[in-house]
Amino acid sequence: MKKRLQSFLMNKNLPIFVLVFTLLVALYLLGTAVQGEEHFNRIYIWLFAASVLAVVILILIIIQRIVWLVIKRRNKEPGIQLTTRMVLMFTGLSLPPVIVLYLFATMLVNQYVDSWFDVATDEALNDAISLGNIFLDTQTNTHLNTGRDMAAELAEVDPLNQGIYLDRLLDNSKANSLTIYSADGLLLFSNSLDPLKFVSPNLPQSTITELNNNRILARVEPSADEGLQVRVAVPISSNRSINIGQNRILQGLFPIPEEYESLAINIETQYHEYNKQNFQRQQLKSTFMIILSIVLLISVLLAMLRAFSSARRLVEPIKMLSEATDAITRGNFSRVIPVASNDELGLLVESFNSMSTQIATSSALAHRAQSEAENQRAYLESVMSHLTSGVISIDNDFLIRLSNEATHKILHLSDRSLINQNIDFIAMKNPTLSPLVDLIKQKVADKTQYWQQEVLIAEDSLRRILLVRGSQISEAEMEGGGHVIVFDDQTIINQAQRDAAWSEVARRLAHEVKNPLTPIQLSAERMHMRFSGKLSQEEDEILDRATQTIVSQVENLKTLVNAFSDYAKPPELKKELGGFNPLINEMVDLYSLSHPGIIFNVQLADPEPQMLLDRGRIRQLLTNLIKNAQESVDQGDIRIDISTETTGEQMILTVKDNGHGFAPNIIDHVFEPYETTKKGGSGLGLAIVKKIVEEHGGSIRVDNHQHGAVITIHLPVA
Amino acid sequence: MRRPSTIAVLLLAWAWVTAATEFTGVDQQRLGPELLITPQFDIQLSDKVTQAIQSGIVITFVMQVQLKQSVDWWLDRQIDHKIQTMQVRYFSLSSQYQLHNRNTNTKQSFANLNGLLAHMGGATTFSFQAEPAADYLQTRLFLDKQALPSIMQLPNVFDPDWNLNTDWQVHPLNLTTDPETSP
Repeated sequence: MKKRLQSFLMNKNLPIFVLVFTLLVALYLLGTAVQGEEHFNRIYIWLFAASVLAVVILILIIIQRIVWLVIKRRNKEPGIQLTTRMVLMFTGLSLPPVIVLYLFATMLVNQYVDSWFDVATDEALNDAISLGNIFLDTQTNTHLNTGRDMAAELAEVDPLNQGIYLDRLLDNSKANSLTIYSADGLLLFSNSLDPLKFVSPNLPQSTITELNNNRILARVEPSADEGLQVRVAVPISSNRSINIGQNRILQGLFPIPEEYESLAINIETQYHEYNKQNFQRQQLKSTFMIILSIVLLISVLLAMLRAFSSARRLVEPIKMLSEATDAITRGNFSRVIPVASNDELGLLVESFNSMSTQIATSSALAHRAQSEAENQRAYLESVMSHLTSGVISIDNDFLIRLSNEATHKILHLSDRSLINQNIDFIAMKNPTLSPLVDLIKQKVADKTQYWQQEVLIAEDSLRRILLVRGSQISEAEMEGGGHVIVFDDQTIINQAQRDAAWSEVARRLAHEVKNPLTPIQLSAERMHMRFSGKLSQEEDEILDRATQTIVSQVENLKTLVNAFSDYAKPPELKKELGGFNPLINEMVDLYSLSHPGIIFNVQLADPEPQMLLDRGRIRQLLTNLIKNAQESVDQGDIRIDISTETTGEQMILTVKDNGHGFAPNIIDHVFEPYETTKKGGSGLGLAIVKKIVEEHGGSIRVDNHQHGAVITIHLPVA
Repeated sequence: MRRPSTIAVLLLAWAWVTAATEFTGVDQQRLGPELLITPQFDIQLSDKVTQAIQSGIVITFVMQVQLKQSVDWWLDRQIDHKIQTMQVRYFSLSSQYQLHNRNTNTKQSFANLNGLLAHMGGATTFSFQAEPAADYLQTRLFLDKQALPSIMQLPNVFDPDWNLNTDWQVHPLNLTTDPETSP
C-alpha cells in the first residue's frame, strides 16, 4: 500500500490528475451556481478560486515541462529539438489570437459599459427623484397638518376617551393607523383600518426624545409591504392630561396613494438600478478583465500543455526509432518498436520494424556467409601453410594480397607479414631477390596468362634456383584481377637429381672398374712369379718395377672404387642415442697421435645434447672433415678449430681450418663428386660428408673465413 | 487551548483586520435559564461602502456569537452558536436607511446611516440557554462579501475598504452575576 502511494505521488502525471480534479470541481461548482442567483453569488468566489488554482497548477506543470525540456536539451536527447520547436510553434500560434481576442474584448467591454451611462440619463433620473421627493414632501406636509389637527382635537378630549375618539379620527382621515403613546413611548391606544393586518407600530426612541422636546416627526419611509408610507408623530398638548406636563404622542401612518406609490417605487427602483450599475461599472470591467484573463490564461497554458503532450506523442516514436537505429548500428537487430498509432508515424514504425527484421535476416545470412568465408579462409590458410611451395597473390597494383609461410622460408625473409606490401618490398628486404621481383613485375605488366621460368638467386655463398610459375586472375574471377605466383626452390631438387646421377655413376663405375682390377692384379703377380729370376738382371728389374707399379695402381684403383661404392650405396644406418662430443674427442685424440703437427682447438657444448647417431658414419664424417682441413694447409702449422653448440632443437658443429679455403668457382658445387682442389683427391670427401649429414636429417654449408674454410653442420637433437 | 486557538485566529485574520470595525465590549444578562448576550461593535464604514449603499446596493452584515468550552491540548469545544444576518438598504425617495434583520424579518428605518450602524452594532441581542460547561464566548462581525452582487465580489476580494471584519473576540462568560456591562 505504501509503495503504491509512493508510486502514485512520484507519478509525473500527478499534477495532471490534480488539474483535472480541480477543473472537475470547478465544473461541479458551475453546475451548482447556475441553479439560482443566490447560489451563484455564494459559489462564485469559490468557482473563481478553483479556476485560479487550475491556472497555478497549469503554470507549475508548464514550468516542470520547461525544466524537463531544458535538462533534455542539455543531455541532447533524441527528438528534443523537435519538441522545442513544436512547443514554441503551438505557443506562438495560440498567443496571437488570444492577445487579439483579449484586446478586442477589453475594448468592446469598456466601450459598451461606458455607453450605458450618460449625463442626460443621470440628470433625468435625478430630476425624477427630485420630483418624487417634492411629491412626497407635499404628501408629508399634508399628512403632518392632518396629524396636527388630529392632535389638537385629541387635546380637547378627555384622555380616558381618546381611544374612542381615535376611531372617529381614523374614519375621517386617510391614515392607515393611528396610535397614541405615552410620553415615555408606551402604547396607549391604537387603531387600524385593517385590524387583521394590524401590527403594533413601534416608535423609535429617538423620535420619543425629539417629541418630548416639542418637536414633530413627519417622514416618508418604507412600509412593511415594501411600499411607502408617511409617518407622522406629533405631541398631544392636553391640559387635561392625567399627568400634567407629560404630553401624549399621536402617531399616524398614512399611505401613499397607490397610483403614485407605484410610480414612486418604480422611479426609485430604476434610479437605484442605474446607480448600482454606475457604481459597479468599474468593478464590472475589472471582473470581466480578471475572468477574461483567467480564461485566456487557461487557454494558452492548456495549449502549451497540449503542445508538450503532442510533441511527446510525436517525438516518442521518433526517439524510439533513433534508439532502435543506434541499437541496429551496434548490431542489435532484435529491437522491435511498439506500434502506438495508425497514422503515418505508426506506418513508419511498422516499416522500420519490417526493415529491422529484414536487416536481422540479412545480417544472419551475411554472418553465416562470413563465417563460411572465414572457415574457407582458415582452411585455405591452413592448406597454404602446409604447402612447401611459396605462394603469393598480388593485384594489378603489385600489392601482395596473400602469402604463405613457405614464401618466407624459400625467399629467406623475416617473419614480417608481406600482406598489403608492394612486391618491391621483397627486393628491399632481400636484394638478391631482385631478379625474381623483376620477373614477376614484368609478367604482371605483360598480363601473361600462364608462365613458368627458373630464376637464379645468387646469395653470398649459395646459389639457388627457383622455379617460378605464374597465373593471371581475371577481373571476372576476382574483383580488380591479379596474379598468383607459385615458386619452389629447385636447388634441392636439382641437387638430389645430381646426387642420384652421381650415385648411379659411382655404382656403375665401381661395378665396371672393380671387376677387372682383381684379374689385373692377379695377372701382374702371376706374371712376376713366372718370369722373376728367368730373365736377365736388367729385365728382371724392369719386370719387378712394372709389376709393382701395376699392383700399386690397382690398389689405388680399388681404394677409389671402394670410395665410389661407399658413396653410391651407403651401408644401412644403425642410429643410437648418444652424444657427439665423445666421437669428436676420439677422432682428435687419434689424429693427435698419428699427426702430431696438427694443432686442435676444441670447444664442445656442455652439457652436450643427446642425439640419434650412427657412430661409424659420424666417425667417417669427422675423419673426412679433419682430413680435408689437414690437406687444405699447404705449409706451416695446421690449425683446426672444432666446436659444438646447442641452439634450440639443433646441435651446430663447426670445423674451421687455416688452409687456402674453397675456390670461388667451385664453392657452389663443393658437395658434388670430383669437385676438389687437391692433387690426387677423389673429390668424394665432402660429398660423403653431405650424404652422412642428410642421412641424419641435418644440413651442411661451407664458407670461407679470413684465413681458411669453415664448414657448419646442423644436426637435430633427439 | 484558548490562547493557541486565539493566536491562530489572529494570525489567519491578520491580513483582513481593519480599523473600520472595532469590538468595544459585550453585555451579558442572565434571565433565569436564559443568557442574553449583546456584543458591542463600533462600525465605521468606508466611503466606498457608504457610496455603494447610497447607490442602492444591499450590504449584508453577519454577527456571530459562540459559546465555547476550553479543552486542554486540543481544539476548544463549541457549546452553542448563533448568527444574526442584517441587511442595510437605502431608499432615495425617502432618504431613509433601512436595517433588515433577516432572522426576525423586522425592518427599521433610520434617517442617517450612523444611527443605523450604532443600532446594529449595539442593539443586537443573542439569547442562549445558560450552559454551565461554557466558560467563554467569542463573537465577531463581518461584512458578508459573498452576499454582494457577483460583479462586485472579485475586485473586492483584496480591497481593504471592503474588509469590514473583526476577528473573533474572546470574552469570559459570567453566568452567575446579574446584568453587567463589560468593557
